[in-house]
Amino acid sequence: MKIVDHLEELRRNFPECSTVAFGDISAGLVLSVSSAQRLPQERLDALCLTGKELLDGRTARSVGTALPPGAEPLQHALRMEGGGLEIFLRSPAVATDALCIVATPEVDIDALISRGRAELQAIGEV
Amino acid sequence: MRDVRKLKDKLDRLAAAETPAAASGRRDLAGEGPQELLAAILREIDDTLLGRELDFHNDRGEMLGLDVSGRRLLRVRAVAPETLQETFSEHLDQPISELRDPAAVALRELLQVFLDGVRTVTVEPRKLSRRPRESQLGCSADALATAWDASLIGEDPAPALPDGPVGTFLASAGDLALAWIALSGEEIAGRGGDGNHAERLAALAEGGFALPGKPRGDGCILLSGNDETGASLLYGAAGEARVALIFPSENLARITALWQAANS
Repeated sequence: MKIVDHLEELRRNFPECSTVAFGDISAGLVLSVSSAQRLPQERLDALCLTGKELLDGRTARSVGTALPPGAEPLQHALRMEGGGLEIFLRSPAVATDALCIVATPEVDIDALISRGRAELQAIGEV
Repeated sequence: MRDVRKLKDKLDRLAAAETPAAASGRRDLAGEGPQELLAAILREIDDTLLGRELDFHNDRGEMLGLDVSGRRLLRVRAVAPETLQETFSEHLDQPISELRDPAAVALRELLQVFLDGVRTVTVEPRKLSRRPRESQLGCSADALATAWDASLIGEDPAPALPDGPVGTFLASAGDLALAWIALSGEEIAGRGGDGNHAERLAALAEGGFALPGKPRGDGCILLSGNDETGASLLYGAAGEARVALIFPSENLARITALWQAANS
């Protein structure tokens, strides 16, 4: 199963997700994407960089200090703004891999996080 | 909207307070007349997350000692002087879990006597000397306020958070938090909940609160660490208000559901 197949599978199960991108957050690079509409590369890059900042960036580390010891590295982040939702999930298998998801607020966030982690695990085991 | 007003009221009172609500030392309660003072006592219970002994003193020199934890009244620990204690002695130290518990019913009557004709009441919080048993549920300030026809919301609360989806969400989520701080600009306007967590948030705020991808308009960012630590952080912006909360990760589903409900 190719990476994009995992992403397509996720979108099929969660139609509220308009974009699911898989990236390397250490480099800030989108490696594969499944999207309802073709997004410009700059938009995808910005999405991945937001994920990098939220999960691994300098300020993410400062947020980590506000949480109890042992909270780092951050495992997932949600950004909710203007009726939109972005979800960033770190891979449980490869710490630098992550999913960057754009969805509508109606999505079952818990279920999406759980399924997204499972897909990341599967991708990491390939 | 009741939850929204409740948190707004709490944030206002926190912002106005010279000392945090959980600080030690005796403080005057705000309110005039028995009903307002009763509401003030219930608000003290509602503001008390950690286990505390709350000793209330009126200007007649009478004292009422309540054990409180998790915003719930656990028991009446002490009543003084003996003349006030007479009708209540059999209920002292009896666990309270429901409104219909004899100790809760008797407490309502005791409070009427305690508050009748007094002008000022002070509260002195201390750490609980006895850990409550896990089975001891206590009775929530909300339930007491409803049964006793008292409001946990001040009469004229100045809005700390704007109405609208984000304000509604933040106000509801605040009830699930371990601690929060409210910011006005870059200044901390108020804080509440567990002191250690609030200090962590305050330290973060003093560093400029440069959260990554901080929403430019109304919005929230929620960050979760390793599952073992069991804590998550939320930063929210609503109008001019900025709020940061630390909450148990077990509340994540409720937090996200509240946000979804507020935005639906």
